[in-house]
Amino acid sequence: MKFLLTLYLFATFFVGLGSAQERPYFVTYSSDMEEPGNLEVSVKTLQASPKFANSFVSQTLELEYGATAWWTSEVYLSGQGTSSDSTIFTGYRWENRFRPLFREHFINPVLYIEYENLSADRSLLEIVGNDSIADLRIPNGVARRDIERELELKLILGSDFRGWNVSENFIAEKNLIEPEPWEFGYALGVSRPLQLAAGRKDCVFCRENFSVGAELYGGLGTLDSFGLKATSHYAGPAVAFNIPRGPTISFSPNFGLNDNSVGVIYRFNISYEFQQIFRRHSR
Amino acid sequence: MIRFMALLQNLPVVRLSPCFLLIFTLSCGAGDAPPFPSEAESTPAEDSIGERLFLDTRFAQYFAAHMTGVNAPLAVGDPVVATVPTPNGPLPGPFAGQSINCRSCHFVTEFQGVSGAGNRTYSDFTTRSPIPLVMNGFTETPRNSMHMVGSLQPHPGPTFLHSDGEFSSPADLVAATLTGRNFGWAPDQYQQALAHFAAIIRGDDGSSQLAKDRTNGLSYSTLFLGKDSSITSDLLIPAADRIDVQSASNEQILALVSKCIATYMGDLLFQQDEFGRYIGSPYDVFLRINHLPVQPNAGESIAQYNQRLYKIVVGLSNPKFVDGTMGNFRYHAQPFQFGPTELAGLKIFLKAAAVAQDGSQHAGNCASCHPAPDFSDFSFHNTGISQDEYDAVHGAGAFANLAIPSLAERNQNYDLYLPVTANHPNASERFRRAATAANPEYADLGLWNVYLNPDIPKPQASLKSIVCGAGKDCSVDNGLPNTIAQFKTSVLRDLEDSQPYFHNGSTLTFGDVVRFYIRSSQLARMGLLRNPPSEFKGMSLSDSDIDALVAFLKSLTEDYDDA
Repeated sequence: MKFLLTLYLFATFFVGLGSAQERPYFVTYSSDMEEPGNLEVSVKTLQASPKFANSFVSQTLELEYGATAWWTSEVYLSGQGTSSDSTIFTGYRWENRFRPLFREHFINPVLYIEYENLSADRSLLEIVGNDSIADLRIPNGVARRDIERELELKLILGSDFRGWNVSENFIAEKNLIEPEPWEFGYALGVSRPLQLAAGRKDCVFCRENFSVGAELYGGLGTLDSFGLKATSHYAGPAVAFNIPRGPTISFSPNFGLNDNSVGVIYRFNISYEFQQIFRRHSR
Repeated sequence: MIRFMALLQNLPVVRLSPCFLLIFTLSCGAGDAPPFPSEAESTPAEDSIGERLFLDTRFAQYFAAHMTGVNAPLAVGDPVVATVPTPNGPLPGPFAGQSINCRSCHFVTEFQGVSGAGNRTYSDFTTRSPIPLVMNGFTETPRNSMHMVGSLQPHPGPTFLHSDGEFSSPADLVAATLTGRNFGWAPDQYQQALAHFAAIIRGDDGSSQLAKDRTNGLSYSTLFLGKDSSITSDLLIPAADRIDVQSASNEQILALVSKCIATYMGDLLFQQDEFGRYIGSPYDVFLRINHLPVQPNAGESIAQYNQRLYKIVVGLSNPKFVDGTMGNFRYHAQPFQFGPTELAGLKIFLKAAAVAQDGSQHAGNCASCHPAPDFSDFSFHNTGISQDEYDAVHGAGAFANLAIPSLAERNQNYDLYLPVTANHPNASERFRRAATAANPEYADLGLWNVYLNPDIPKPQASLKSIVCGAGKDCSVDNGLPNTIAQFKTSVLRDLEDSQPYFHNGSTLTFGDVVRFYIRSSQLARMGLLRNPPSEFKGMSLSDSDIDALVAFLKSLTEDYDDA
């Protein structure tokens, strides 16, 4: 536990020192893979004040490594702090993404598989099944009793056309220790840099360093009750600022689309990509 | 694969799929609230064994006096269990031909579907339960059998059991009951009771139908030893608890049995999901479908939660109501509903009058003692029911003039005032009795009998924290006068299935209950209620509130069936 906390704090500090090129998505995965040998470190922060519940902040440390051109592996470490409640480590995720087609196509599929071990998690990295605002009202002490060991599969479809990126995720999640049905969800994202070609001047606040977009995501019920009934959904704009030779900073307010959703979720991300980190040392 | 993808990308439906998904999603409607998850949790072995012990009819004095063998049925059963008294007359007893057991006063599904009876939340049907032998002048228990379901619901503050807080742990209650008056054992027969009890446990061979149904036909000695390979995992008690009953002392056996039954009692809870959110009643459904908070937030007190809930329900502009499409009752004739009348009742239930001068404010202040979500504060209050009973027999104002001794006088004259215990087997128990015309010194003072009672030491520290808690005046006799006629607050969930109500079973309907509170709070306002509760200052009810409050209390009903 102490090791994880140390690693987390170290990475949180380190992340402010580097550079990366990112799309402004928080929930949606694009078909982009991590460059082989590169390690991207991100800290995702989420803040929300659900109706009739204590406000909370969730933080997730993300370590993304490009193993090969067709395989990217990631580890997430998550924690959250709820006002008038407690600050806790909520667990980890380990995900792998595989890109079956090397060449670019109009639609580029990526297969995603993740194992997660979480309790009282509030990172909202995906919305599946009948996830709702009521889940966020459960005190940490009670919620921690329910440990979720889940398998998550995603079909990621990404398209790039004239600078626009459109990404679609279909999510299927299965609890491995409880007799619960498969849960489903979706995430859609669209984004575009403000300017496609770089300017002549080397500048920080140039339009080409900014990407804007929007995301839409939510639950699709379970295998027993597939559909939109009793599900929650969110949508919101997103912006990413790719600082030249520095980190990428992203921000997105997500708005709940129905009564099952939290009114507004604020998401903030800072990420940095280390180039060829392991290969450099191995030479 | 590449060709397939190329083909796919030319399909218009694929190009338009994001648009379809967008439209699909934006039509997601108002967001009907999802049901809370309900998951079956594993049950500790003590629970299954505890249930068998709870039902075992061999621990009573009658069995000891009439048995021909530990595992042989009785030739003639105890008359006390031959029938079960109900307000509509006696019904055949489910344990007829046997002797008394715990279930004899705490039924569940034994009378399911029986006209004039029905499911119970571990209570019986009568005002006071008949006991096997006349003892200390008692032919029945001093109080109404309190429903057990929900009584051990985890909650802030100490746990008390029995209407007067005589026990602070379920294991203590079980041990005292199995060896006490309710099982036919006199106060000075503790050692005999204990020896008989241990003999039953040691001699049991698991041949009874009960043993076959509950513990796979295994004997108590096998189960408690925990070594037999035929013991399934659900019946294997933890290694630390195991004993060899053949060599263990009688006290050790009683302690383990008490622990098993206590574990079983702890699992008697109203329907709730894995996060402790209640799910069984129309009221619970109403909160859920309106996205209202169903339990306190972390850091929020129960009282704060109830105040917040009141503000929210008062501000509800367009509530969704519960009807038969959202649930149904299997064991109750009434509709599964929470409509405008129930909502009006909820508001009255939660509302506290600023300064109640009369009954015009539609404020029940009920939640100050029966706060949601458990609908009990698990503490003690004087509702005035003892005074009501006493004055009904001896005339208005009689209870106010009843001579009640000081702490010193009481404890110096134990036999004269306090309940029977092993140390005082001949005590009069005069203040733990029903009021009768023949004995004007008889009354039920509830907690007063237990608080600072030297023969009942275990709950004293916890009781002191309640009686002399913040804001309480304990300057006189360490607060003993404040305990006069105080009784433990009932859990209101599924109250319908535990009538008659109050510690003396004096009311049969919710309407009568509300009418009593109107009357008693009026007495308090007039200064005519002895030891009035401070909560009555916030109660301002009139007859116009009865229908709504009754509807709300009915909306707390659920189909409890021990499943």
